[in-house]
Amino acid sequence: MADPTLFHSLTLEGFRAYLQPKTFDLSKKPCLAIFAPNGLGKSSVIDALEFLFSEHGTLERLGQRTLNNQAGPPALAHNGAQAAGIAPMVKFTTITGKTTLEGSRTAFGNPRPIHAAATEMKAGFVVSPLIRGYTLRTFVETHSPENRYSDVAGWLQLSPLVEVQKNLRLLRRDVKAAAESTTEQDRLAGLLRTETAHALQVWDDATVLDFLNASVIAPLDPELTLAALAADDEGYVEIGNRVEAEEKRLGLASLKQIRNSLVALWQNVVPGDGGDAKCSGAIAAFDEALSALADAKAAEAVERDKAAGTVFRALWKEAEKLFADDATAPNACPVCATAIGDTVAGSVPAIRDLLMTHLEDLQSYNDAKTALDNAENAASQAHNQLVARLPAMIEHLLDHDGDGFKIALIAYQAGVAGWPIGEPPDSAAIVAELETRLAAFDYEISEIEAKQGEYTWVKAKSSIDRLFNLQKDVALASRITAQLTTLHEALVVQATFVSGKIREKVQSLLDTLQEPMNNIYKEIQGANARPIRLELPDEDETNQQRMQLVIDFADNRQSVAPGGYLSDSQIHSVALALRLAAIKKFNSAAPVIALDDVVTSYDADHRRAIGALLAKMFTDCQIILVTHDERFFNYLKDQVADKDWQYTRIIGLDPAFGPRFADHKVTDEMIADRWAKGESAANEMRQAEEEWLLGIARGFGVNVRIRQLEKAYSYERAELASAISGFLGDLKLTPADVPGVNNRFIASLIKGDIENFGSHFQEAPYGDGSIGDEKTRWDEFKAFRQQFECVCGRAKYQRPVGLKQPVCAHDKCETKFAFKPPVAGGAASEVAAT
Amino acid sequence: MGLDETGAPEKAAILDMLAALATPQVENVDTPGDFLATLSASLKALEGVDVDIAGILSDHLLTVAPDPNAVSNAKAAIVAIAAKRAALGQEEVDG
Repeated sequence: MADPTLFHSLTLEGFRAYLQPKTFDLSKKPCLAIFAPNGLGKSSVIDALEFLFSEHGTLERLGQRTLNNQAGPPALAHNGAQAAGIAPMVKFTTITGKTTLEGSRTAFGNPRPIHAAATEMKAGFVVSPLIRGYTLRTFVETHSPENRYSDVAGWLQLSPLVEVQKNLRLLRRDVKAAAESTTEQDRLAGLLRTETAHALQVWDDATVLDFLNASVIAPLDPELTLAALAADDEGYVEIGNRVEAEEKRLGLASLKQIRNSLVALWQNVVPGDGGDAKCSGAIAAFDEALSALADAKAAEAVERDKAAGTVFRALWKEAEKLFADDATAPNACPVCATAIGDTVAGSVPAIRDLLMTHLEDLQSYNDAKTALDNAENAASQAHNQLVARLPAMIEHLLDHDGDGFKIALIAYQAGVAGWPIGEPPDSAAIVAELETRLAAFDYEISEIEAKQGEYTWVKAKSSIDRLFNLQKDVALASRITAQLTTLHEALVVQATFVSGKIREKVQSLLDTLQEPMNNIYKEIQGANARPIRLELPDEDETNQQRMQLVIDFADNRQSVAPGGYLSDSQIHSVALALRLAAIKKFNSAAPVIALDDVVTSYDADHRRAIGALLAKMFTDCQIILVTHDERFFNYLKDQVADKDWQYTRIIGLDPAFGPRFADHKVTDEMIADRWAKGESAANEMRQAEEEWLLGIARGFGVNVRIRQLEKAYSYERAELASAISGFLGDLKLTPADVPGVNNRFIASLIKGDIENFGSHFQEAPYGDGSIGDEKTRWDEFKAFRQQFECVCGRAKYQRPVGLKQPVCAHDKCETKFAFKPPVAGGAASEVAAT
Repeated sequence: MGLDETGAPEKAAILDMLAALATPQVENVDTPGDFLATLSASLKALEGVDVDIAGILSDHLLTVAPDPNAVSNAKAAIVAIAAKRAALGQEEVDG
């Protein structure tokens, strides 16, 4: 297996809360803990990790675009980045074995591609390495078993499998709905009702056959029936024969044929809306084309006259260049050398006007010529059409029809054929006769159709044919429904198979996680915590997308939901334990854990337990942790190995810079700065006191009692204070009383009261926690601390092996420790314990 | 970094951690994509399985990144198969 990959460094630049570049060097100590109150930019570090590995270069809570309540990728960049000319990005270095890789990802514009080094590292994340406290709270407070299943599957990177199961369920539903749909059948039933005048509502072959025989065929011939709804049925063949005979008998077909030939030549159509009548047909088209041609010829003749002298066209074109507005005109005619002033025009401007007129006439002539060409083409086409259609009409006319129309039409045909050499024949007489005959045909046809009545073989056959087609459509729809039903059954079988396999896969993964999860859970909640089981619903349950957390709470409460028996904190622990177990189990190729405020729902003991958990079970992981819980931060410092961990805190957020980190221990100046802003410095005071206490305890080399097993890594400050006090007592060294205090500091430390307050000085009846009180108490502390100052002015000690009494740690001093007498007037200037 | 509050010496502990992790316990974890590919093959190999349905499930649903319209597309494919098979039935009827 390849070497695991860890982060070597991480730099945020113009990203989220960080404007100016901030680099976290993880090359020495791989684990990082950042403390900061809310809103100072600690989560931006975890955001940077999420962003580095995100598929679409964004954060889950920002979304892929600015939409509704989502801020979208623009929120990745610090709001001052553009103005400061800083390109928002996250830079990083990874280390694998001894090989380091640098990479970066820009947090603005599109696209924001993931870096290859991040892709490589991401391949080691089977489970997302990010754990955010608010997701754990959601897991506890609002999630249904379905949500929980989805979450757990997501943590285990089983989301695609959950998606498959969800899609399978939707597909089964949709296909079932399609198989049961009656939309097409309803449509066809509507057509059946229309065809049978609502005599039939639903298709049935026998009923439809009865309908045709009784209602369609019997009125024409009661003896003729269809035996089946089939094209080869003898009855149907006979009906076809009767349709043909009917048309022959009545002459209707030939009448319609002659009429069609007539209207192909000429018809005067009056629009239904009462508009102007419009002539159609080949004769009308030819007459219209001839009229247009005559107009075009006339126009062309006029324009040709205007453009007389077109032979000089080339000359005018050349002259136009010579007499152009921007050219120097010649003094004399270039052809005949006549002086310009002696020409008919008499001047250069007059010549220019003359040229313009001639050239415009030429353009008009060109347009008229084009129109004439088009008119000639149109007339030629209309002529061809008329020549083609005349013979059909002539053939229909009898040789001796009494009025000589056939002879007249043949003569017209000859005249048309002689065009364009000869003049076109006059169509007026022909058109008048055609109009008379068309009216006669229309009257005759309507008379015949009226005599046929409602029942004709043509109508009967049409109805039968429509029902034959409907029969095919109904049959096809039935077969499609049947096929869909069969396919749905097959789908159910296969979906059940797939779902079952996915269920087995998920359950097997849950099983492998169960033991480590419970180990972690017990580490947080104590050895007596009842083990939790992760179970999917029973096989026969319809909804498999649920994950049940069950617990054997008591003998008479077996396999019960923990929600009703465990506290929120305990269930919260289950979520955290499950996630940590999964990361530890699956992410061995990139054992990184990023924790964002995961202890907010825990009390002090459990926060300490989580610190111990990280120290005990996750020493082989690179942990990057941010918290706004200072106690947890301090517990962590007490418990995990210093060689692996670095700690830092954010002390402020500068909009023009970014988070400001405490690059040193809490100083008197930091505390004074707090007060100057009118803010409480209780936390800083407490921190300064703790730092001082730990420094003295280390320097003196005090004895600390062996702690309880479950608190193996914790250092109670009260214990340290007690040890210092005992150590000093053994040396017969007693600090002087601070006026008005009487060493309440040491006394309160020994009592352990400080654990319950932001500052031990808040212990009643000593003060009310106002800034004034803080200042008073801080002066008292400094007065007390000042007594530990060496004669050389330093305050750092050591106690080499063999010495009972500490000595100054400075190698040029090494003075034995002794209390410095307190300076009169309270707090004295002193040197910070560095 | 120079921010560390512990003041503990920096001895490049990350190398120790990497050395300790150099031979991590091997976990044979197949990816969801691998699992679905195997599952797809198993489905198609089932005796008497409707191969058209199995093909549709494999193409449209048994994938780590299904199309947003995967369900609609799969349904349309199934309806198309139903229509095709029904049409074949009509051809048999019509001879």
